[in-house]
Amino acid sequence: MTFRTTFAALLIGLAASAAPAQTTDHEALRENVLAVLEGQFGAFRDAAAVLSDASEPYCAGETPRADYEAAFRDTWLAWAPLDSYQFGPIEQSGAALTINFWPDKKNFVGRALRELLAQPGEAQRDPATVAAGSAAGQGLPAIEMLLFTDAPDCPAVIGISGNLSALAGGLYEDWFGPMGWAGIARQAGPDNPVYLSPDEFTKTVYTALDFGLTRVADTRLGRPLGSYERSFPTRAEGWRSGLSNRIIGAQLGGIAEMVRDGFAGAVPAGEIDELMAVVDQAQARLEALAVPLAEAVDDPMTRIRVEGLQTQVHYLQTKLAQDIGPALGVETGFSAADGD
Amino acid sequence: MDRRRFLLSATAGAAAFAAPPVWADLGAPAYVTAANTPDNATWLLGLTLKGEIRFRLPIPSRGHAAATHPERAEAVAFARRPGRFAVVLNCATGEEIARLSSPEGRHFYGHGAFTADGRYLFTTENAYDIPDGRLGIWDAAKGYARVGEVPSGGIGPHEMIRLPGGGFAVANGGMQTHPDYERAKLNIPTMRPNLSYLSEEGELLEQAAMPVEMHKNSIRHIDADATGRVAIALQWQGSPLQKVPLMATHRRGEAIALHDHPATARLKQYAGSIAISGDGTQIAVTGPKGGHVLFFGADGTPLGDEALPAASGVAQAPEGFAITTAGGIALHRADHSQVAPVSGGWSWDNHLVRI
Repeated sequence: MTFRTTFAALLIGLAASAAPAQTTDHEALRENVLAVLEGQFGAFRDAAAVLSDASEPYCAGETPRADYEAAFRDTWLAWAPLDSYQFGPIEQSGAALTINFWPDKKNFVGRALRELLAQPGEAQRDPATVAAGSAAGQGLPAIEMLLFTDAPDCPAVIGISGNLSALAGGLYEDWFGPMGWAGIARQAGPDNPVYLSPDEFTKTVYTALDFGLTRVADTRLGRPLGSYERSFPTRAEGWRSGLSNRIIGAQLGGIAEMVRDGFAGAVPAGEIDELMAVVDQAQARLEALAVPLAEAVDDPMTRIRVEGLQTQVHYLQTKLAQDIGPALGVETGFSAADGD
Repeated sequence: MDRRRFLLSATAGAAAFAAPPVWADLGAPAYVTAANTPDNATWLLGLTLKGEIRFRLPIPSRGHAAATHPERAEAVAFARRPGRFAVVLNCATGEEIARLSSPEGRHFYGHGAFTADGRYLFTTENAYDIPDGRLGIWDAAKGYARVGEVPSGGIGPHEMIRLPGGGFAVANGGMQTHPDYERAKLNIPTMRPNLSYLSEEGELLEQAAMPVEMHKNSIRHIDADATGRVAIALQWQGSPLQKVPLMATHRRGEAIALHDHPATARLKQYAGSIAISGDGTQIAVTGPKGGHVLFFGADGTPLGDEALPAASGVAQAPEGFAITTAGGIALHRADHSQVAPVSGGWSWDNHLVRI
């Protein structure tokens, strides 16, 4: 770990003075990217463990509700950057559905919780019970529904948070443990079953960032915005716990971190700085909403600020495609290996 | 090229025939395939074994497979997942006969098949909010109006084929996807692929599931021989490091049989396309990610294998197989491939449909 951090720091130092690279060193880039991913996946694993550890004392009445809610919010915010990475261990473990079943257009979360809550308390507090149940009952939206509606949150949150902690630890191990995905990426080459060359991993991560921005603009902002005639406040992610705005901020922050620290050395510093400025403007517009997203979309006066944020996110996508993609040497053309 | 064929290729949009053209009128292209040119423009091509392009028709975006009408020179070009368009083309004139759009809450999966009389077209679809697999039904005699849908028998129906004895086989790949997540697979730990058999009317007749330990081996592409045996090309969704067979066969009333091959690993966990030879004695499976093709006997015994760069679509050819590969179309006969160049720098999609 120390060697890798030093190596990454050396690259960043070199990049500041180097001329723009004509050919990208995808192997060096990969180490920087993996360092960022390890930090982000590690943070989620740690936050989920804190939440799980806090569940028994909370249910026993030993810790204040506000502290438990804070641990819950920290866990969701630690997940937020990972939401973009729908490949590798997240895809392999079905984490898109188990950790963050959202959007939930047909209230699958509610239905899954009804089934869980129908079981005896001893079963509810057991992570194995939760793991054997519906994916929709295993994640952050399920815990949120228990904490912020009339449903009895204890002892079910013990089981759900215990299972969630196991999922989060599993993701970290599946990435950075022995035989993990990082190892597969490091052995990119003609014999590798996933990445036939190092630039394929770069392309995968770059595409994930673009996907993350699409999800912020179209799903996190677009769906609640609806149309001028009708907005849909409860479509905002995390509206019950008041997390909607902060989740978007954490997502944008995660993307910025990957560009700034992961792609450093491959992208000219000037272009990274420009992109960071665009991110900062997006964060500023998010701050300027001043009220939770669910309220903001419902009020004609504040709606326009949400639309302005959405526009800024689209602009960020454009900058990413125009400045960062080409600098990384990422090809966007068709390939027979793209899959069907 | 004789004068009549020259007129056919030169005329666009004119009603040159009293009756709708049939495939023979086109100078018998042997195959239809979707492909891209280097500028990323998207096309449907009619190809011969000699590498001649009999027609090239633009399609709205990247295509995948095509369904060919049993008699008329009509082909339905499907958008690659998660596309919402399918275009019915008169392959003689290049006219668009109809444009199919998937209804609200559905998108196409890139495949379809006509009923034996050519009256109805079935399309594999994703009902993504349910989630469930569906087959859309379209009436070719009424301008391809959508007339209904039936369940496909599982999640993620991909290829479907008309069977020689009547009815259809559907490859339900088991993978749940949703347009909000672009092409990510959402349910790998709990996926359950199956091969479903349906009647001409779309009624479910029989299903065969993958064995439990192979539940992450997705049934994606299929072919059938005259006896009704179905050959299956698989795509492994589990750990990339686990070695698994990528070909299976099935007969109604039996269990799915998996078939390994010494060169399976060359496919890199992804079998793109499969074909059974005309005499039913051989099966060929392409691996576009691996640039490799595997050959099996009819009973699944491994035969040879061959490196063919970007080997994509495979279909029956006289005495062997036709395979699209980088730069052209290969004719594989007697353990040997001869590649006929096709000019244009085409990137082939995974399917070569025999007419």
